[in-house]
Amino acid sequence: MCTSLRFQHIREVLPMINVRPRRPISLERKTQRIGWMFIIPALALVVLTHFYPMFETLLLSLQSGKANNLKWAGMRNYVRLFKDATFLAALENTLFYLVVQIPVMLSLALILAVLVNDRKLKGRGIYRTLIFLPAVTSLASCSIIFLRLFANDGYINTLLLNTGVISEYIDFLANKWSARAIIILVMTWRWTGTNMIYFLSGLQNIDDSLYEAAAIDGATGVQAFTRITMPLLKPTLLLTTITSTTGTMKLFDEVYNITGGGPANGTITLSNYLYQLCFGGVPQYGYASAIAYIIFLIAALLAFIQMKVGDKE
Amino acid sequence: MKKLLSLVLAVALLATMSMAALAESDKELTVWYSGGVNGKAIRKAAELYTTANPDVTINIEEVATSDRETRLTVALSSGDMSGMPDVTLFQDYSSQKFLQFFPGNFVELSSAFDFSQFAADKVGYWTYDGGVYGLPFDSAASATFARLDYLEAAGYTLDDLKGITWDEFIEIGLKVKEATGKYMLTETNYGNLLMVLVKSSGKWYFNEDGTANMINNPGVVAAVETIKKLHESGIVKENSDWASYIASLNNGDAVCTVTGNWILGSIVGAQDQSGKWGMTNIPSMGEGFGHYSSNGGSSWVILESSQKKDLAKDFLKIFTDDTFNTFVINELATVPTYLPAQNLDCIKAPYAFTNGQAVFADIMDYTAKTPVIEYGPFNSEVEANMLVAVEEVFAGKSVADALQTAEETVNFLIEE
Amino acid sequence: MNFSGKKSYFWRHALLIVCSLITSLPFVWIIICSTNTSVDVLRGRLTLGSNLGVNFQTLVDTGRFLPAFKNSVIYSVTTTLLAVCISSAAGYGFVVYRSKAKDTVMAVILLSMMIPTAAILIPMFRLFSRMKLLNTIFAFMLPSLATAFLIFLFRQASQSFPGEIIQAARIDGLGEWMIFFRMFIPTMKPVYSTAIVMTFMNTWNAFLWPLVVMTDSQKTTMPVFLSLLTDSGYTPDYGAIMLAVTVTTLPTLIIFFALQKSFINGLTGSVKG
Repeated sequence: MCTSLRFQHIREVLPMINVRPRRPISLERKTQRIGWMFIIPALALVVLTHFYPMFETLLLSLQSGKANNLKWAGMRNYVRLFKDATFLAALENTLFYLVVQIPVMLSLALILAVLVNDRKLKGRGIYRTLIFLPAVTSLASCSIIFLRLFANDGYINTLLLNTGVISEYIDFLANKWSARAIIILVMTWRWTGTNMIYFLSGLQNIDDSLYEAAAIDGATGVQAFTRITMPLLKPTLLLTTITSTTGTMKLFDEVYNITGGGPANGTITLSNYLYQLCFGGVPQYGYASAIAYIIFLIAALLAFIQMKVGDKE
Repeated sequence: MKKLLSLVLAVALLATMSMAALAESDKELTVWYSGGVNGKAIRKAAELYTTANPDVTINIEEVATSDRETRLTVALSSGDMSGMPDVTLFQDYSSQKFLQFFPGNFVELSSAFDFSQFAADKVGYWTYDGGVYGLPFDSAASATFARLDYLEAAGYTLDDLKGITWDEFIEIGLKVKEATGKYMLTETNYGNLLMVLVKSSGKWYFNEDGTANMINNPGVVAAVETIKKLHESGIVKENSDWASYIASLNNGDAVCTVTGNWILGSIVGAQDQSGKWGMTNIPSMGEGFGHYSSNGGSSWVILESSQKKDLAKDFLKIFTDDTFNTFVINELATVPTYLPAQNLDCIKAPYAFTNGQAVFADIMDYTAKTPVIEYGPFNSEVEANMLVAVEEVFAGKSVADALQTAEETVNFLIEE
Repeated sequence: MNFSGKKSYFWRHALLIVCSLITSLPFVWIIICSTNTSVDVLRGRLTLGSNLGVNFQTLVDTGRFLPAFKNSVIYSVTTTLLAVCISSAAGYGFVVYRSKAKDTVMAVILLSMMIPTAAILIPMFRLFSRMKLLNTIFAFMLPSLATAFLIFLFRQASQSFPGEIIQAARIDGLGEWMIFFRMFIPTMKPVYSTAIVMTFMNTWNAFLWPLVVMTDSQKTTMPVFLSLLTDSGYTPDYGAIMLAVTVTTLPTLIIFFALQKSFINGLTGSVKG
């Protein structure tokens, strides 16, 4: 409150300073240099702890062999990938999660954000806290919760058996489609709240007067949403879309802990397979690195498209 | 802002202080383990050893099985072993992978131990290029553990399960289920059972040249067909995870479990079932297949990076000590693979939990009869793809087709 | 929004209540389980038990619980504070001094979050081994101090920071760094709250990297301790596990509650005259 008052004051003062000095070029350049100073510490860390290892991984992806006995192989790992049934299954599953889960989660998050953003809604503070709750769970608890729910002797089967809906338990994790549905459910459960918070804060930035004006002009709720809310939410939408896309491309934990990739590789992700190649069997770092770069390429391509669409100045 | 800055500085300072590494004396050993029974055993070993050698300190640290292997894989691949212990417990299944692909990192032990005194099956896991690199601890011989009261209620005795085939087992199972409503067998995803069955054929998954052999491997084909029959028979309680599996034993939901004898440690957890359990050998898959197998189990390994290899070897000698092995049998219901232990009185003593049956002597007997096979380094690859094959068979694929795919996939992973 | 009538509030509440139940009931369940014995948890008991004290004792008796908790607090708090400072400066720099070159650099930085940790684990380990930083807080911390996500978060948020404030401050003679510290940070409290919660959450739950670099048992963190408890090599004690899970959830929850007022106020700040 206090800060916004201060700015109000500044804004009132601003028009009085009517001389906006044109900055000489040298000053502009100096400011630019200071700008880099803000960025360099972070940039240096990213280069050291991310890009340097990523570069080594890129080199690894051009070598093949087991454990530390690696030989140059050119593009052979990448060619080999497309003959690998497990890789193709993992690619299919990962893209399936991407296409199905992200739209569901982001729409749900946006709807919830719009609902709890209503100042007239009673108990909105409680709602937003409860919906955010799953984000703070550690992964260990997340997998215990969902295993206890969907296990053969879990709560859902017990409930269905006791109410007489079914006579024999359903092995949810043994069927490819129900196992996939559980993974999508877990991801949605865990991450919708986080995205809702992002949207909510984006929404709070939109001035109420815009909606009031629209209402006076006779706009419907839907029109106000598409004409005012969506355009102004663009930076937030871009953030949530890119982080969700990247997160899903790298999806590992939920599947590893709940289905282990089964049944019959029906839920395995690219990251799961990569991990299996590094730490499950005899390490094949070169081959695994090639998978890492496939993940990278897809995520980067999608982010590039999203940036092009959503990040105009 | 000032407050924030000073807080950051204070925390950073604290962190730097806690960084100062603790100097480790040359009479100090660090040991990694996991699991309740292994923990109690290694603690007892350390207690006995440090009583005899008061100047030695042994740091016993629990690290989960898979976490231990992840850490070792990363350290071995990077060539920095500074954070690794002197001695560590190792899964027998992973032995050849590490011995063959990270050679020179494990201490050869046959100069310190006479390995003819240990179960041949276990020594086989750790033999590579003429040397032995792991000290076997517990027996992993497989057995059928059965609830005597449930069998009796259906008109059977333990002897009816001895030396039978899986077909007969299923037949009995159907009758027991009819009479008592209990599942004859409890399982997780059949992963353990698959290993038990294949090993009982006396041959593992690989050809002489190291390539995978599944489709033309009678043991593997029979194992998958047996599991298919079990799955379709309706006598198996199929649990979604390990927790449910253990619970099914302790809650009395099932009559039998067929797995490594180490499961006894979990079965005795339900003390109210004392006297109700019996043990016998495992069913065979038919003509030409055996009644003995093993699965799971671990051994102790000394890392070449250790600065105290001699001390470590000397410490591991405690595993051949009578006092130690008596403790392991009596208190932990665990059978050592050190063969002279069969002369200990406690091994022949009747065991109350199994209705007076001297199970430890029987386990020693099973251990000696377990086929000795060559494992090779690709067990994880095989395990993952065989599980896929089993799940595909459950979903309707033919055994031949599923095994064809599994064999091709494993060979694909081996070839490069 | 003022477009809907009173009638629709019923359906809004209905939807929100259903969502809230789905998200919060598992927590109630975890808390109930942490008061029960392992056998009761496996039998699916849904009422409060009297085993809380025993479960707590079980955790303490491992000798690893309290040190792991302490380590996680120290590492995560330090990492979070430094990460937020470093990354927010960068995010600010990218917007306030926006140029074509900087936009490109931002896009390149974004690429760094598109590789799975498992893939760069060995090169990272080699790097930290060469820097002699294994088993130090720096090994835990350095890879989390400047993350693409955090920088991007601050970059997107900074876009709503009014340029005229900066102009005015410059005219008043305030240096560029002073503008950042005196004007930007206080104004953007909401983003900082968001960033603190998210960064703390991520560092607190980090598993794979801490597992391999913090091998000294005195330096174990909570997720590694939890992994130890749930190891299926023997009969896990589910009562104790659920208590550990409850305790593990608390710090992030407390931080969320403490910051929730400003947290909710905005990712992109509430700078609207």
